[in-house]
Amino acid sequence: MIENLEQEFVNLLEDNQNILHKICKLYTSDLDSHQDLFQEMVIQLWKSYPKFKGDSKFSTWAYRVSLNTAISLYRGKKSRIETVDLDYSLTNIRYEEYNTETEDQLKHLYEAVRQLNDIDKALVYMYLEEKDYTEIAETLGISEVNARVKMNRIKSKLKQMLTKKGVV
Amino acid sequence: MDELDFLKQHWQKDQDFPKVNKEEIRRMLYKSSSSLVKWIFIISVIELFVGIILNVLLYYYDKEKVYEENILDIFSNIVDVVSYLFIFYFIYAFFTSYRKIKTTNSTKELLKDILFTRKTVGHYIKFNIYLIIFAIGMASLSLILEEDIMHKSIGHNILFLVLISIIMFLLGWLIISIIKLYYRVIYIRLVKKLDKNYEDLIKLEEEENL
Repeated sequence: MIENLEQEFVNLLEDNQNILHKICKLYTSDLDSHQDLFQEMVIQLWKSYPKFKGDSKFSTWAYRVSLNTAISLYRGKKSRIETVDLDYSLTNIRYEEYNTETEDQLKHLYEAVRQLNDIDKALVYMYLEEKDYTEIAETLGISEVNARVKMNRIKSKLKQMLTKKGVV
Repeated sequence: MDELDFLKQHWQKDQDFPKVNKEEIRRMLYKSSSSLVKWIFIISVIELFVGIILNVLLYYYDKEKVYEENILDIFSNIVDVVSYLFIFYFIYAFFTSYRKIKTTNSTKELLKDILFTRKTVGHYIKFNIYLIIFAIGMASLSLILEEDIMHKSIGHNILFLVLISIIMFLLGWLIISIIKLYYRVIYIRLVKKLDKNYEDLIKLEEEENL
């Protein structure tokens, strides 16, 4: 019955929720929007769960659907430029393990990534998750060459942003 | 080392996110239905307040005209009070559906609540339309009473009655069409979306049974 399906989904999602959190971290810059996006992804995943046939791993399927949700949600919306970006301390992300310099640099990097457009963020996510270019290309529906070109552009864009701020 | 690789080094370590538990996930699944019902609730409250404000304004406007109270006025006051009671009931029903859907974590309950909300919306719309038909009827009656037909010729009275019937019929038809259009745009759309959620849930159930 539907209860079983739901139970199965909830269990899988609970185990794999970090995938969603990580995407939220790149797409949002405060706790409220993080939770909103998380919720939206959960709803979209649940809606398309019947189409998930188990051909791929749940985690692979989940990150693809979630990325699509994030992209379509932020499509056309210009990324807000956040100057203050300390809300994330609320989500218990441990920066204190690092020395102050590294910590500072990481914060600026996240800030810069959040200013990229929706597709670029998806690329960054997959890059950080060590997906290969074949998979990146397939997920975004672009060619592999295009994916590489985009990735290089993102890298130089980030460098530019950080140089402007005097971080690098 | 470029910036992204630097980030990548720390990416896997930065994973201390607040954990969302099963209950919270389940509640999220029903969220879209709950926000639809919330809108139905909010709109019905706004309608009530607009209705009350209009009534108060009309009351003060009427007060300037001096005329004796007749039986119709008393009757329509009673209907006013009763209709407010009904409207409060509907608002209460929408609110409880919203609360239930928001906190439910069982699919069966959710399906039941969606059906209940849908039925309540249907009753609410019918109730409002009957109320309007009634108000138009009352307005026609009071116009007839004010005309003082006892002291007019029969020819005049027949012409007057025919005219008032035609005008009131057309006016009533126009108002009801506008109201129906309004409900179609606002409520039926929300209910349709609720239905869509309902169908999705049923579909899930069917696919599970295959």
